[in-house]
Amino acid sequence: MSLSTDLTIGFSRELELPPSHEPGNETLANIKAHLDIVLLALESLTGLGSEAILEAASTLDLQNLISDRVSLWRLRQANPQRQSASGRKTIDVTEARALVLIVGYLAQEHQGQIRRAVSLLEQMTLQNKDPHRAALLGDYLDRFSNTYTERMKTNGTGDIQQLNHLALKLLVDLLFYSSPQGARRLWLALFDLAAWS
Amino acid sequence: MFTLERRFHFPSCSLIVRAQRSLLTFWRRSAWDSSLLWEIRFSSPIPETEPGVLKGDTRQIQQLHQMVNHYLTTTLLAQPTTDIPLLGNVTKVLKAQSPPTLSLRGLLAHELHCGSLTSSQPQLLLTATQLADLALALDTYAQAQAEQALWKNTSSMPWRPIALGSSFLVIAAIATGLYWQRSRSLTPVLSTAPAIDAQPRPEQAVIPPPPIAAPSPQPTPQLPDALAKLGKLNPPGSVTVPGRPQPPNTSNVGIRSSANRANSKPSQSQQAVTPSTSTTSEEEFVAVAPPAPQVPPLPPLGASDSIESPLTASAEGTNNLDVPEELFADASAHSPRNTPRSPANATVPEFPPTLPQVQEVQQYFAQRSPTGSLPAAGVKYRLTIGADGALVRLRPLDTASTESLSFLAMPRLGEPFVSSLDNYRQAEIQLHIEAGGQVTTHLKKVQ
Repeated sequence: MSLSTDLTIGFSRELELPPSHEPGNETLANIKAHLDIVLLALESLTGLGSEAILEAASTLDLQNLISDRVSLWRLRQANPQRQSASGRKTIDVTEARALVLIVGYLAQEHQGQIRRAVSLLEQMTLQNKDPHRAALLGDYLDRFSNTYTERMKTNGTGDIQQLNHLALKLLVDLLFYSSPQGARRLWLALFDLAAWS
Repeated sequence: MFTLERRFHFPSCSLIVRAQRSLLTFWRRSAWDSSLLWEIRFSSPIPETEPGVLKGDTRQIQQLHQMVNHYLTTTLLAQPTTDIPLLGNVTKVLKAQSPPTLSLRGLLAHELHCGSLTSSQPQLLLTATQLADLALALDTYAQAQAEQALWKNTSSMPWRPIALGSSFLVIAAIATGLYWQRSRSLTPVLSTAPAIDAQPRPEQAVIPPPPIAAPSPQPTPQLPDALAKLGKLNPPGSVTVPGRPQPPNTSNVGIRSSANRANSKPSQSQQAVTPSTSTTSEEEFVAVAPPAPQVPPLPPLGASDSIESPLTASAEGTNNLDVPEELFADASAHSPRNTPRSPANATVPEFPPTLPQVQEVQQYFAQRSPTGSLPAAGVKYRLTIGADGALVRLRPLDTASTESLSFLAMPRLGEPFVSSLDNYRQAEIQLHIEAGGQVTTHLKKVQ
């Protein structure tokens, strides 16, 4: 059985709504925002674009939700932190679930690169070195900061240190999302995260 | 007792699961799980810390799995992104229901309090990659356990046929024991007929062979006096008896035994079957080994050398020899194998023939080095030498040899440059001059 088939069966079976977690509008807004920046981190590290996301959606049989670039763009624009976001699209649980599946699938596909980056980060941290000095991490941090600044409302969060820290946190999170149970972990964490926020 | 072992390897840790089984509980899967022991070894720990080892039983691995999952989803991944430093002091301790517990020491460091787990240290400091591998190991174990696939691959392990075989032997032994007991319980019934049982059965009765009587001296008959006084008659003339056909020469041929003949040397006629009208009992015949066949003595070892090979015969019959190249040694190294060993071949031309001209051609060209550079593969020619030792024909064997002909001091046609041939009209010699100047010659053909 191929990896994609495994993932399709596994993901669709596992990602049910957690009990007593009927998300409200605010929770959904936070979920939208978090999923968007997780995808942003993944794009910044691996260089994948919307084409790869659409392919993943096709593999996971999510074409009815994300069929083309426009629908993907509209889905991601639902992030309230986006500069161009004006509440034109509200994400629902089904769409959030689709994005979680796509993040888990893509993270698992790029698990080697994610693991290399995290191992490198651990080494640099233990040696008290700036992560920027490692090419892989430096490129990732720069791309993430640039894209984030370009797409998101900063609202005073444009501090480069904070952006770097956010990027590194998302990088470590991606390591856990890249496991076979990663999508499920992201799905469960989203609700806690939304509640925390 | 058998110990089943399953290993799961991950980049920074290994999970080893063991279960002890006995023949009685072999087929009960629940018994496998209850006796399960596991061990996690971290292979790449943070420097300045010792390699961590965790051990426990079934309940503890389930507990650890739940705790790690809970920690990841509710503590690490659900943390606000800017609250956690990369490395720092303990900022949040998970209030787990029971040990073990994990506590956050930053994005990249997690402290595992082993609690009730058997561990090399009470606390293990795990990196993010180690924690990810630990979570993956526990997920893999849980999935295998849920799908009842933990010991699936062990069905092909070599111990399984042994276990099956042992089980079969035990069952067979029990069945044999039961059968033996049952047969013993029937023994008193059989013992009610002691008279029959005590007598030897006809087929079991052993008839001893009759003793062989020792030969006794025959009494000499005494003639009555009246007869003894009569004159002796001459015996009649001899009658020609037709020749008796020789018996087939097979083994185990019986001959008549006699005490008087036992020490005498048996003749050929005595070794034949000689049935007597008065002595036909089996006791008078004994088996003897067949006489050794009369084999003519082997010729001496050297005689085999006198057998001529077809090649030698053809050398005798014809004067035209086309000789395979591999049969010839270099002119500079003649093997003694090529020299005749039999006096019978002394008058025959040697095969392969040893011509001194081969050596002379080699010396001729060895003394005259080429005036130009030869190709790397060297040059090859076929020289035909006449009976007077003159060059009759020169044939380059490839294009490079043709082009390099001007660099060589070839003898002129018709002018003798080697000694004359004794027994042949012509000889073809192959000449090979290597780029380094080494000259090799082979005899190819004689006429």
